[in-house]
Amino acid sequence: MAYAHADTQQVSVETITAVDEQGNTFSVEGFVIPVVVPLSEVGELLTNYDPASSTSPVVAYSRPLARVILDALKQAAEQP
Amino acid sequence: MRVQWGAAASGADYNWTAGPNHLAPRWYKDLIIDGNTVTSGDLAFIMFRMELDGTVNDFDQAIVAAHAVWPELDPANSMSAAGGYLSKSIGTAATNYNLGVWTLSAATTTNNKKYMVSVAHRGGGGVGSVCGQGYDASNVAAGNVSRNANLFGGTTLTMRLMIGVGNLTNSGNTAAAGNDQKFSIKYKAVTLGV
Repeated sequence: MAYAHADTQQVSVETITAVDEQGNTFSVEGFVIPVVVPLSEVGELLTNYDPASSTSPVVAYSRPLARVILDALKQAAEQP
Repeated sequence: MRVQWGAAASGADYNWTAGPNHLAPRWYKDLIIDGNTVTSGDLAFIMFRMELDGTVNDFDQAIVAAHAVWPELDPANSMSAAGGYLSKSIGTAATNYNLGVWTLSAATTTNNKKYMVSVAHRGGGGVGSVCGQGYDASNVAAGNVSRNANLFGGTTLTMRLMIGVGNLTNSGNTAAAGNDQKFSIKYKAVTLGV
């Protein structure tokens, strides 16, 4: 089971003005990529994530998650 | 509609895309269709066509047109509002506004559009979702946006239509006394089951 999926048909370039995960207001134009984390994976992901540690998450979790985002971004950015 | 500010205003409270509170000026009225007052329990769809007047260029501005059940309150989540959104910076070309949809205290916008058409849904106590399409000066659709409000509440509250004016940002080129905003908003509301 993958840790996450990107809904590639819903990737778009928009400006979002909202509050981020740190509680800060931001206004940024960029690619909006819907990332879906299966409920069945949430427990394992959060158990193995320590926000206070700069080396968390480990590669076994961070790389698959990063590749989901980057593959969707690459597909959207390079489409004709 | 032309609005003139009587005093300078800045800060997050006068920016419709910053929470947690909204103190920016707004006007509202009950939504009544064929003599029936629409409530938060009714399935309702409110369509807006919103456009800024490019001849007025006084400050970095924003405008919201929305449905709301408590537009008179200040906390964004208590207002329970969602609808269309217009914004423009000083000096922006008259056909290149940043337009979109707005829920509670956040907006999703599409750049370089002239006017915005959006549909805001509400019913069963939920604030609902808003989707919109931006159009260029040639009436060509070029960019769509949507937002979910993710807020739920009571089903017996009177639904209101609201228009709010304010700043695009918390600081910088914010409204000064005597500054104007000029825009047009057309709307049509329908319900299923009233």
